[in-house]
Amino acid sequence: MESVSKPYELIVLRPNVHSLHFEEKHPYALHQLVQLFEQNIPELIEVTHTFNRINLFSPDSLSTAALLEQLNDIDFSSCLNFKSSKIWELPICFDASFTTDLHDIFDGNQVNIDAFLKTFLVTTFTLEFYGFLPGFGYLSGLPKSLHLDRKKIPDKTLIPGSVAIGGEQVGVYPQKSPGGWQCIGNSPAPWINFDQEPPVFIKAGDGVRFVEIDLKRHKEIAVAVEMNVYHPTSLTL
Amino acid sequence: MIAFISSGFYTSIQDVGRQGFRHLGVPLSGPMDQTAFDLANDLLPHPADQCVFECTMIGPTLKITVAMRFVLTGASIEAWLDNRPLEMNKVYQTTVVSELKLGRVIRGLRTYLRFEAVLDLPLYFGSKSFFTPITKQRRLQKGDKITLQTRSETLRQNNVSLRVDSSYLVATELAVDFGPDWEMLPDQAQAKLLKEAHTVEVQDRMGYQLSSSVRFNAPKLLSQLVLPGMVQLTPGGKLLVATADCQVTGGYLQVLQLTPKALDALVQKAEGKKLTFRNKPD
Repeated sequence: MESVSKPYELIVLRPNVHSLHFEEKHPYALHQLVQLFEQNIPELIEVTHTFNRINLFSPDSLSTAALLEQLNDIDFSSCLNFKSSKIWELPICFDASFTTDLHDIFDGNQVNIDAFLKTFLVTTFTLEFYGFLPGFGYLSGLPKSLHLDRKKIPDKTLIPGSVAIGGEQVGVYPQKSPGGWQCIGNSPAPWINFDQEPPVFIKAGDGVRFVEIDLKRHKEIAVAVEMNVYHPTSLTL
Repeated sequence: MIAFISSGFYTSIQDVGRQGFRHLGVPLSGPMDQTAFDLANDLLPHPADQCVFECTMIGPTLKITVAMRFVLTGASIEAWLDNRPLEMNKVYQTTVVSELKLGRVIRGLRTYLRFEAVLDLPLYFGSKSFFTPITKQRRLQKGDKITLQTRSETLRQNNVSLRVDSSYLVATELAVDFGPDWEMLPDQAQAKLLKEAHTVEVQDRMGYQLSSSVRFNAPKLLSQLVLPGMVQLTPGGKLLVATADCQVTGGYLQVLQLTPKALDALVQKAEGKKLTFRNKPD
């Protein structure tokens, strides 16, 4: 079989860690390619992905050449034109105590802040992958007009549930952490539970929308989470 | 049982870590110094438990109420079993009531204490390694007690005296490969990074921050995979070397990658130590 040239560039990070860097605007769903690789190359120890790279962790016995050969034999066409079938609805609270960064960015102009949040609330995001912290999901889909530069000096502490924007990326801090992203609100829904299997409910490729709640509802949900009786809601398309 | 009479400066329990959960954002964890960890487990292997106590700078004092074998590897340290001084990389045995006292490190920064036993600790993502918030505890505290199961077979006398090459503990020239973003750096910056001495400014289990005089404003980068040993350059000119508890992804410029041996040498260095990089194999 003649091998078709694949739309990625190989990066050798370590002799047993390779990254496939995908060109901009490639048509593949990387989280589906991850599954395809796991099925077709069972020797692989671990496969992860980011916005534009797939990372392959191999045993020492699998050489770069042998890995490439196996990759070349895989037909990527089943991972084209992916559409998410599930959209999670996560609560978000814009109480003034959670939106000080937005206040700073827009110089306190409430009209601009409201316009920003309105666009944010009608956006459907996609969970691309988890990284940074356990249960920190990277969301794509932020409209260009909402992109915010990272802070010059990272904050010492962002509180759990901080919904934050770093450039074109959106994420929710699952735990207290230093961070350089701009905080625009707070979501009390937990993203990861170490005592549950699976520990996360939002899967790569799932849609995510934020639904506005007031501070009272935020507190109620926080209590429900504490008591382990909070259940996130989703729409199936 | 092992009871902590004192905790030492920063003592945690580490096994091989959490390979296979990066897709949830869960760091690898495990030992900072893989060489010392492997040596401890080679000297006292146990199929059911590879845990070590990773002791940083000042070791703990333990009251032990089980007869079992143990060994110290990694940074050399002052140590006494019931007031009898101990050597590194040598297997000893506790009696039914023993006091094991570790003092200050002499050469290096992190000492590994391994008992031939199965520690009664819960597994999270297949590992007992301390990492908050996955485990409740970040480090051991005075008063902590750990129960354990020893081997059922008769204890075998182990008098093997092992020749261990511990020169890496004080190595100051660290072997590196180029990272995926190396080519983005101007030639002058590349030359500087490899030529100048870098000082350890801050360090913990997540990473080492080293000084540098390189200033380079990278274009906006998407977050990518970060591996232990990866050297990232911040816009402010700091070098961040990822170590055992590092975030699984990060958005800084990935300029260099320490070899596994060089990483073990790095994590044995305290704040204030100077080092250089060289692009040659170990």
